[in-house]
Amino acid sequence: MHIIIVGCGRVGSQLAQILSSEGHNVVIIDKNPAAFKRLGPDFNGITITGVGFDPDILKRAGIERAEALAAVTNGDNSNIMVSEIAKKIYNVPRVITRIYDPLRADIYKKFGLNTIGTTTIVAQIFRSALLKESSKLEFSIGTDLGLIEYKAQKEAPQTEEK
Amino acid sequence: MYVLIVGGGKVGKSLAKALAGAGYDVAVVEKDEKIAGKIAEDVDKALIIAGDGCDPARLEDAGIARAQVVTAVTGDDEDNLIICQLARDTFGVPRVIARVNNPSNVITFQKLGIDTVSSTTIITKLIEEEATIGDIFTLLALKRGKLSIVEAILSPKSPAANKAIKELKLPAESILATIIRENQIIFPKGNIKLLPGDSIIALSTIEQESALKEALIGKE
Repeated sequence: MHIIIVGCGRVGSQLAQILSSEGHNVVIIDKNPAAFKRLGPDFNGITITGVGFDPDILKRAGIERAEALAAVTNGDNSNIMVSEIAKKIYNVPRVITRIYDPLRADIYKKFGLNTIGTTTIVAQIFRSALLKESSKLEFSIGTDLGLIEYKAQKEAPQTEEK
Repeated sequence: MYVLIVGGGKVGKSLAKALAGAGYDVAVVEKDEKIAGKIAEDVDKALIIAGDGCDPARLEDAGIARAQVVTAVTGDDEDNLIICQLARDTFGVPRVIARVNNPSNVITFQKLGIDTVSSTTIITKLIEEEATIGDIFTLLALKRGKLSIVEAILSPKSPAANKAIKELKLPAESILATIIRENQIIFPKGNIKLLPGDSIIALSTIEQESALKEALIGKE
């Protein structure tokens, strides 16, 4: 699969390494060339230095044949802009957008972007870890993905086996 | 009319000044507190909000719900895009205009349906025109540079010199507005003969400017 990752921070670089080691064709874009050091020596994808929402850069990254794109720069608005270009102009089938601001994550989810609001997710994980209570974590990722985690309490009642 | 300006740099500030001076209700959202304070001192009669204009809550503070026009003029194109989309799609503002700093982003904005003003593109065009001798000059760019009012001065060698206006083959998307001859203003009619030294003011689309130039003053 031809996958474009925009942003080579901690998340972007790790994502690139995982996908690349799984045999995908990964192109990663970052405006700071020093960021590619995070990829380590084993990364065998392509790196492009430039602004991710620049149409020329995206074309160089092969957006016209990309099957998926992840926007994981540290700028919410950059991520939104890249994602809208990928989805609405180049019809990339799968576009995932990281958004820190929970409000903007909600708004753009309504506008049809697959947003991952990491702030809310992390806050909920922390909350349940701090309170040590039985928890039900629930996240929706975009419009068609969800993650639910149930954690059983020690004193949880045994369910009867049928 | 209530106009909300996001971005209080040089463009935002002078826009706020001009619009407030013209009697519009103006609000400016600027994320840098110091700059916001400075605008508050310099521009009377405008509401200044210090905060991030990409944050819907700040836009609400600035009264976006009753704004007829929102213009995003920050130095960051991605911010301008998001501000305009929030204004149009979330708050239902009837008219939104984005400043585009990097001309290569103009197409992206257009494809996403956001009206743009690219000062870089406009200035480049103007300088290009001013720098070409024997050309027609743009007096005023309209419709964000798509349409312009131009001036051409006829020389004895110009193809239009000593011809009646009806004999000219002018491009379809252009029209002669007026002729200035020795400080006299002449309104163009078909029978009027153009003379060397005439200054011709015309309205034209950018695409047909070179065809208009050819018809009036010829090729280089």
